[in-house]
Amino acid sequence: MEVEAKLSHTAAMILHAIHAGNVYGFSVMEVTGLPSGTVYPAMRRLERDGLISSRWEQQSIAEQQQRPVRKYYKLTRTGKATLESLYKRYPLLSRMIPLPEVNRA
Amino acid sequence: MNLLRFIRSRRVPLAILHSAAWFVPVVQRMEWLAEWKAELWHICDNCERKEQDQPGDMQQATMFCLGAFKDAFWLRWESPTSTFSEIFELRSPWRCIALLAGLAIIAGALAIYLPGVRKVILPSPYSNPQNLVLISPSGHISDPFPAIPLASFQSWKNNTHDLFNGMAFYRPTTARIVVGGHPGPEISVALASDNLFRVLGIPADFSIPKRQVNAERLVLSHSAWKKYFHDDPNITGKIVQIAGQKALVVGVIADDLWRLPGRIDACLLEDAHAMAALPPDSDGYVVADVKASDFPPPTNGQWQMSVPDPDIGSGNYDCVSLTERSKQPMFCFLFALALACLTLPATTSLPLGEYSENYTHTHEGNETRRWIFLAAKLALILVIVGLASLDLAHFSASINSLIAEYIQLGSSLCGFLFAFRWALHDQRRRCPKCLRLLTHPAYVGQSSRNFLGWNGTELICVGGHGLLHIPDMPTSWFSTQRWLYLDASWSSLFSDAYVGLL
Repeated sequence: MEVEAKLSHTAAMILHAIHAGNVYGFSVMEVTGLPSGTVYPAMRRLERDGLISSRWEQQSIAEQQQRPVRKYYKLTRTGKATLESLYKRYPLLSRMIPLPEVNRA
Repeated sequence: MNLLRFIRSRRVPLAILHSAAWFVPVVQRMEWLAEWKAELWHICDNCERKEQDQPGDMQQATMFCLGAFKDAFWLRWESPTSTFSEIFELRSPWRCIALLAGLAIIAGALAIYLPGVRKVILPSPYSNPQNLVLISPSGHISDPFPAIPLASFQSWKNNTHDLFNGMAFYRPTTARIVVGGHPGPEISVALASDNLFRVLGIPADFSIPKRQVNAERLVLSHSAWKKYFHDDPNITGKIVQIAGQKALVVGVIADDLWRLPGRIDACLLEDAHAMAALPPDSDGYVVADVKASDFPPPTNGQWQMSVPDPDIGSGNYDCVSLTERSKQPMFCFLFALALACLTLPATTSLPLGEYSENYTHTHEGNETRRWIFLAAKLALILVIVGLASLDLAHFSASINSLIAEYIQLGSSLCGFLFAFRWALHDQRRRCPKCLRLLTHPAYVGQSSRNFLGWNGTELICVGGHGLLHIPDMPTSWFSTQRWLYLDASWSSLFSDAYVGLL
């Protein structure tokens, strides 16, 4: 069954950016060009709706690199399905931020 | 330098983050702050790497952290225990107060922005406004046009040393200004006696020597200086031609300094010789400084002056203090308020409804809250209507004082009537316990069976606190709206979310 895609273009762009491997807030900001005041609340909304999930990275990795622990985001199964339907609604979305596979090609 | 170093350090973004964290619900605050701090660390690291020549410039980090407020507000809004959603909920009493407060702030901001309103609400800049009087023919205090001939002023000036410390004359007119041989626009000029600013007690020295040039002295208003001279910092000492004569610009005064009748872009200070050259029947305004030690100010701030006149026997004049004139808008406001209070019962019913006495005795806090809410609404309405009517009356500088008074009176009367009616109607449609607006109006009963039952409209509180019956046809036993409290046994029928918020 096709997932109903009723997300705004901004939300779709953020979802696509996370799918493209930008797994934390600042990198999403960098690739989308959106300000922090837009990106973070949008990510919270996507997480609330079950389209993305978050997890804290391991303390040991952060300590090894002498930096604070970061929170990473990734798409859930529902999120991936939603994104697929969003590509139909916003055909240029995939061209804005290339996916890792496209980069390698 | 220390301040600059502080601004460019990481402390400012961190301080912003910690400030924003106060809006995040307590249970989420630590995690939220940790995420933002971790991201901030990477941004600062990025900034320092990119800008080697400007180490520590945290502009990007600051901008990043400002977005934290939006995120924090969103989390607060979404929180199930949030007071934010309650405040901005459509039917909430807080929203009503917030909207009224917003309107009051807008009206206040407009009042500060409009120069005409600023002059009304700010205190007088003159040294002794209670002793300064504006002389006008008896019974013509409110006339917006000048009415004292120059000849009368010159006669009084020489014969009233025992009444006044000083007396000045000015005549508002329009004249074309010529700068450097190029004809400029027409501006409003006050042709004034050279002691005008001294009589007003403005502590400004315009006594620049006239050099060798035979020119009068011209004082510009700040707005005219900006508009016609493009903020020229070297304007003082320049020679311009105005009203057919040369004038030396001797200074610029703030717009708020001119509180006398007439809109003025510039003031041409003329000596006795130049004044004598004006036609003797030129009408103008006369300002005088009363000798307060000999003539204590009367309670109404108005002196009477009688001058022997060879033609009509004696001329009577009113000398109204500038303080008294500045109170005129307040009199208008109070008059409109009194008139609105008298007229209100004719336009709407005043009772706020019937509430069970047993209930109100056991819940006195609710009763107090209702009255506080009504008082807050009325107080905000006074501020909004008062300021908005002033804004409207003094919106344009071309509106003369008399027309402005009528506009203020009319608009404030209409505003009060409309706003008071709304405040009472709004109060009647609110739950006495949670003060939310009641919803779901339902028509009950049948008009044809009025004597067997009752008919009217019934509204309900979404919090489950009760029902409001409003009779369609007031009768001796059911004349006004009646509130029926629902006890706790009804709570299961209402949404938990709503009940939980209350």
